[in-house]
Amino acid sequence: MVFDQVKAIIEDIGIEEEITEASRLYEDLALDSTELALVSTGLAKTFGIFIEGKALRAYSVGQVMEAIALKA
Amino acid sequence: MKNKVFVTGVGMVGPCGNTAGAFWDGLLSGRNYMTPLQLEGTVGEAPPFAGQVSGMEPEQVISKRLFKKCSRFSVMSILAAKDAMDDAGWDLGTMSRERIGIFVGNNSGGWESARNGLRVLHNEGAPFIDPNLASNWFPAAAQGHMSLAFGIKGYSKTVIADRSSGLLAIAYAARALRSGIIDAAIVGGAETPLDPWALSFYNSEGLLNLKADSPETAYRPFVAARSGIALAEGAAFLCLESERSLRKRESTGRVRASIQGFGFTNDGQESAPHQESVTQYARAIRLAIGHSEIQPEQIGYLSLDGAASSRQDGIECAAIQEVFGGSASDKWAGCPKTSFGNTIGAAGAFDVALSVLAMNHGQLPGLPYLAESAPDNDLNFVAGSSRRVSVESSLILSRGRGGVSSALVVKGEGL
Repeated sequence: MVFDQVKAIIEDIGIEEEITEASRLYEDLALDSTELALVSTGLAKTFGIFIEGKALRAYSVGQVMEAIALKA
Repeated sequence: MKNKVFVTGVGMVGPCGNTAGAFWDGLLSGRNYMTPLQLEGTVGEAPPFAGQVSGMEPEQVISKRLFKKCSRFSVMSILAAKDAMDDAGWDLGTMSRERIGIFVGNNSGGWESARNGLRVLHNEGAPFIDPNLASNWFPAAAQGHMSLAFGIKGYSKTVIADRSSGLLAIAYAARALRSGIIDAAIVGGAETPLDPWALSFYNSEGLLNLKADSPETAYRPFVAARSGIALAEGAAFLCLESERSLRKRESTGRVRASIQGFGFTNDGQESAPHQESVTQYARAIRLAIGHSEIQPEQIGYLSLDGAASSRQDGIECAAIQEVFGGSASDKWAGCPKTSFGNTIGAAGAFDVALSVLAMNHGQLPGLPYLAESAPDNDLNFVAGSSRRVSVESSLILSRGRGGVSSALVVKGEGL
């Protein structure tokens, strides 16, 4: 459920590559700074969690899910 | 020896059609392309009609990822540029993208993005503003997005000079080509002024026709019934190339026209006296002709700015008379944008693109509304939907608020 929501946020940017929990936002999906900020905004709207775009550069999808679980 | 600059491709997205071919056919049909304008949130009076674009298919050209970053005027720019490059037969894979420039004329940027951003800031707070706003609201955004779309890396510029923006962009591109900084350029203009904010701005300047009761009466310069311009959205782009670029790809190179001289002047004062504005407008025309390889009598078509105010129309007609004297009536005059609306920062680019097509096709777009209203000047307007005439060269004119005057001479070349 959470994975699908995070995946939807990333796909909404226009990312067409396959997204898994292991996918790293910067290294694998090549999100640029604006796109990382978009993910940040999407996470804030959907989960009420604020992770700066700059910090998300080091995250994988799985790590984003962990951060969401910690907040919950 | 001065490097020559050639027009090898024409592309358009606008109210008459979303390719240059469709636009040209639509324009020559004689149909009026202004439609009722219905916008929510407009402050004050709104113009009843405008030239609106529908049916774009950006997914054919722009990746979903880039599309998310773009304002509407960037999307139109990319589509019109692709249309021009296809027309020119450009294969970017075989061209040096570091030797290709992008030049864009624009006046108001991505107003809809800026307005939405402020709405989110007010209603939801700063963290929820679309971060793409940082790079998509300002006039140079289209240039950047075109660079991303096509991987073009050469010397590039965006020009903001009201209705003269498009002509200036073409002139600066031609200058860069002549100097040898670049070998080719994709150049033109884009504008999306049909937004409540933009309308408030243009309204405050008193430019717009707020009284039209039909599309046919929405934009009628050069007649006594004039009452301001009708706005339109759209983008028009040209592929410009140096001889060096053409030589490199001679198997596919095709020439539509050559860019000749350009003139640009300022009135130098707010609301200059009529005669001073005429003098400066005439000086821009003389500069353009003086920097051309052709003589004044070789100019057969005058593409006019058409501000549709008695003062501005009077200045434009008087400047033409001052330069050409009695021979002005030997030239055909037109203002094709009266059929689809004024695209402000893109208007000069549309006028050049349509003049090039007119010379290539041997057919000049007309002013259908002249069937019911006689011109209040001595120019020789093309009446009706079009007229089949062979013209060697065209003079394209643009004015801008604050007394900006620009003129460009373009010579048709055999296809």
